[in-house]
Amino acid sequence: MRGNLQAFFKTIIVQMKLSIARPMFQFVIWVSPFFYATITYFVYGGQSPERIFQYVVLGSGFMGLWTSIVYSSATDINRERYYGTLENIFVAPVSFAYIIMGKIVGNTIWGFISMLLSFIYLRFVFNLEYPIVEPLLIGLALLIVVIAISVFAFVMALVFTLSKQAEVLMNFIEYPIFLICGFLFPIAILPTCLQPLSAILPPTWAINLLRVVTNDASTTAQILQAFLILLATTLIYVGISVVVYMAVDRKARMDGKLGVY
Amino acid sequence: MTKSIIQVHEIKRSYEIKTGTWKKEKKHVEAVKGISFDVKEGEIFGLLGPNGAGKTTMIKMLTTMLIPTSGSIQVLGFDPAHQHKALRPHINFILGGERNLYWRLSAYDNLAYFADLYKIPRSVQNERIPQLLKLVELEQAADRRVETFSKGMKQRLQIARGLLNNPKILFLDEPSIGLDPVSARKLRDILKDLNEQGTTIVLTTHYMYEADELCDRIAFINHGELIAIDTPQNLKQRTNHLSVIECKLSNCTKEEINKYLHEAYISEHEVQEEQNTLKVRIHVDEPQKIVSLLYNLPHIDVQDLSITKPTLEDAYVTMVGGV
Repeated sequence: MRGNLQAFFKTIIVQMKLSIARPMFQFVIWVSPFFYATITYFVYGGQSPERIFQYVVLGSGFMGLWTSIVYSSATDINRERYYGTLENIFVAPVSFAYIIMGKIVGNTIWGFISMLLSFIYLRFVFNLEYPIVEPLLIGLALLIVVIAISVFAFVMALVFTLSKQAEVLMNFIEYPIFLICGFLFPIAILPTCLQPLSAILPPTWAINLLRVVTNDASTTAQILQAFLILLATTLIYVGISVVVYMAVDRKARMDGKLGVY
Repeated sequence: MTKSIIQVHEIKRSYEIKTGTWKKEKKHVEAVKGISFDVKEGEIFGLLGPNGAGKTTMIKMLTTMLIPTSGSIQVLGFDPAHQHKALRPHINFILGGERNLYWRLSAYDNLAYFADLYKIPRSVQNERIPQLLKLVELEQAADRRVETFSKGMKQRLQIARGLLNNPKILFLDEPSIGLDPVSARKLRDILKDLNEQGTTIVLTTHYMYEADELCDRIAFINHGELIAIDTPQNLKQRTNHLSVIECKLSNCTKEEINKYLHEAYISEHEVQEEQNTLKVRIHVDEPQKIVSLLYNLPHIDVQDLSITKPTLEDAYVTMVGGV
């Protein structure tokens, strides 16, 4: 266990170093949040401060976070394949799950930095007002959001491990998640047929939790409900990830194509 | 008697491949067709064969990367297909070429990261990593990014990576591919030293002189089947009745010389065009007859003729097919 954790924390550091060394990732972290924030600000410009916070600040911040996480689960797996290191990390004594999770957490930290930049930019450039929130409550909400998003990214990363088309799949899911999970608007305005899809995706409930805990008007029952829904969704995805992990571990060794790119 | 630490019995591995763009068809390809062999503790064991022979597939099955279709494998008493978690800490592998490293990290950071992936305590890492960098003569480049390294340096760093967990068995898949002669020699010296210190080595290579110099025993495989397995000396002796004639011919075409050799019932020959001459290599039982035939060919000049005993390469090509 100690060895696995040592490798997990080292993977976070290595992943952060490797990611930020790439110009494209630097763009995703340092530049794209400003575009997301500016576009969403002008879309919601005339709305109430609460609505602007919920859909401009949180929405654009989450877009940056999501982009960095999708990168971690798809392109990084493909990059390992390209470097020829995917086979090395797959057959290392440390469980592959710890390595993938370390990569996701490394990029999630970058994602939060990107989100923070977006918050600072909107606060000082557009003079937006932010609600005063209970630090413990927002801290707990952020922790659960990180876990939920990481578990979801973990399932995606496992699936991408088997596919040589990981980057294509990544591009395919990046923007639909913005829309389906309601980053920029309430999912209630989506066509009815799409709403069940929104409901089974953890990012929907992650951003919902952040909106609820940062809304002054939220009741304790609403806050508790938002926490419980996200926790329940996350637990379901933990279960899915265990099943997918075992299946991928076997299928990767059945196919023997980890080194093929 | 030295105990056997790898036992491979009737191992088969097949793949399903899809062909066609519109109408996809599934094809079954057998990469390994029932191979059996064993490797003894402390040996350097070579797997030789042409491209697509099944060497890499075999290495992947031995190193837990691939599950066989049928048959059984025991490595250090573990089944790599089902006891992979128990086996992995005791083995390591190095794949040829420049990949398998993080180019944007320094040599030291690469080793430190892989050491963590092998659960090596930090106190041990602090001692072992500088030792390994010294062994592969990269201590001066420890803090340089790998992307600035030459191919030989990358390959040596891979060797250091493969030794991080002090493996009982080190698997190498074409370790010297693309290396210049000096780097390749350095690599062979490192492998010999490692073997003297007790590491069992299993390697695949295309380079016959490398296999001849390094290996205690060699298995020739072709089309997924085991053709021969023995010491390099014994393999060469299998073709000892043959002699190898090498010469250069001018004033003739490749087609003409192929026709003459065909008429003389010589099937094992190779003709290469080199500027204005043809380089000919022939395997024969009675070299004198062929030498006189060559000198009596009309209008053809024979130069640099030599008759030698077969090398490991000759044994290989005779058994695998072709000259």
